[in-house]
Amino acid sequence: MNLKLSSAIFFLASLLAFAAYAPAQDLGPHYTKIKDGIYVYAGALNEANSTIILTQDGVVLIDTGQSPKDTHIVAAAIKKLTAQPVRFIIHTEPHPDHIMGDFVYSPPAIVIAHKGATESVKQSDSFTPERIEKQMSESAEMRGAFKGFRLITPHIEYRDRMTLNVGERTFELYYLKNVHSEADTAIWLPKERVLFTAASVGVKRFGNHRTLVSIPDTMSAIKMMRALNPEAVIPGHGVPGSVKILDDMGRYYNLLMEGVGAMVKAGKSLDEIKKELKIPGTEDWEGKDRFPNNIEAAYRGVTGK
Amino acid sequence: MRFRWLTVFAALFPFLSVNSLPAQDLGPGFHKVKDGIYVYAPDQTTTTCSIVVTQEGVVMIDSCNNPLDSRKMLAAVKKVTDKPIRFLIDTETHNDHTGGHFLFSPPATIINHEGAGEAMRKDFDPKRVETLAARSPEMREAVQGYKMIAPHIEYKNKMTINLGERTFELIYLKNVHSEADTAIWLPKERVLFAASAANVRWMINLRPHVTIPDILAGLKLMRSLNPEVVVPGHGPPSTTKIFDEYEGFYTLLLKRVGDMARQGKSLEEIKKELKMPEYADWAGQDRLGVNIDVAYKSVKN
Repeated sequence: MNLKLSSAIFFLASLLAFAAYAPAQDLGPHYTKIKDGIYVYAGALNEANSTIILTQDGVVLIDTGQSPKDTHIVAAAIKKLTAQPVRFIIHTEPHPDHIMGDFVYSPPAIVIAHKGATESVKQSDSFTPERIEKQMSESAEMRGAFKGFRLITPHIEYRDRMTLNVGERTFELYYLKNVHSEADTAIWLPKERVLFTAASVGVKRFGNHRTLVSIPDTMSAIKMMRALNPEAVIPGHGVPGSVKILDDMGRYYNLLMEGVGAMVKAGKSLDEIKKELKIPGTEDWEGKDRFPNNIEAAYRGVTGK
Repeated sequence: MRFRWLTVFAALFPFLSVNSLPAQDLGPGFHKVKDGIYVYAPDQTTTTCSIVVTQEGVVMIDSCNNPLDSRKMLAAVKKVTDKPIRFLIDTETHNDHTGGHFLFSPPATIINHEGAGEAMRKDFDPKRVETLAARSPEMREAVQGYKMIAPHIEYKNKMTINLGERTFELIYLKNVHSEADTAIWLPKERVLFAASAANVRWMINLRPHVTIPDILAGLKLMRSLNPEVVVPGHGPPSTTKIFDEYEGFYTLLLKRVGDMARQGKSLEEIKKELKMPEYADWAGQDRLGVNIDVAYKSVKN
């Protein structure tokens, strides 16, 4: 009896120890351990991140991965880490590469996003049966990953700010206005000093700036997030790092606004600016095809047009 | 073909029966407000608690006056649906609305406005369980497993919950009763949960942080939603009539206190002399003093 009890205690203790301290490599490739109980997954460089955060009362997920295939990979990792369910999914944005895998966890998971996320999903052409069929037809594996798919829209839409308390952890949600999508959320864990920036910043990569994006708003968001003084910074896409990610993007947007501003003052047209403008320090950045829409966003910011 | 129709009917029957279950089948004190919306309000002044059934689970509003009532509500939920309680929204922080959380969460996710958790921790009375247990053997049984559970989600100003076919708009009511008061509006059903901004012909215990102009603003905002049904924090479901009654009461109170203050009367003198005979049949007459305190502060500011 004593032996059985000891074995059971040892087994439980081992499980708990694994949950808290499992190295990222034990979960498989593509995981980064940020702090105890916080693991970031990205299938490939610059694909959407999906983050597992363990708490005493269940799991909180930040985004559900680039595709349902990634969602299932993360779900398998969660099973290795804990027997507890995913209780909450927080969306950093409503685009498909962040939310398509929600159905794997919800129900019972409660999905949270900023006001406007549901409307954005409903208006988007990314979730039509044709688009989903196209994604499923990528491979047999992908088709399998979509089994049971249904589009989940957020259960909770907050406005401006919200706090989520789960077990020993606190998550502060901040709306980031006009930085990437119709409903972007930064998530701040004040005790752990870990910040999720959504796609307001990237890592040596130009952001895809839709017409709603405002660079002055993005710069304000970077300043606000910088003021939190995080130890770890996890962007919506790209390798987790430090405040350097915020500083690098802040510097880039400053140079971009200055450059576009000076050329507008010199009487150059938007087309001329697009042809001539170079930003030093971005030579090795990815997504160069997006640089023109960055210039357009800066031009809107400078001219108000 | 007939068999198919029977199958369809059999499949739909539990859902149809949920929506049409009469309140009396749930026991005394239960009121059916609309299909799938039930309020437990045993009398004029006891805390109400409510359930709203959706296709994807139950949303509960307040966890009842005490754990005995919470258990009655839990039994009612089980009669109405086999779905879990997914959300529990607090209309205020006080323990006669929040003391039964432990019976519903987990799995329920608890929600209230920013500041609710802090207020609940500050006001936590470790002796409350023992005080409750001393009331009766049934209550002693009901409080088993008690623990204080603060909200998992604290929103700011406004929030929307979408569950199944229903939408819940949460609206912060500032300085109306507790440190975090939430009105809940179901726009499709036109049902409003008004927190303790208005009750049913009962003088409300106004704490020092409450202001009457803020209460009047809260009542105005809620009336502008044009609800069909108004569920107060205490007492049976009603209509916007309760907003009219409380607006009349507070407006008259402010006028009388203002007149007396302008005549140079002190707060103590006002408390001794002021009468509200128009409201003599309201419950809670012993609370007129704190209502005068708050009105006096509003007048002096």
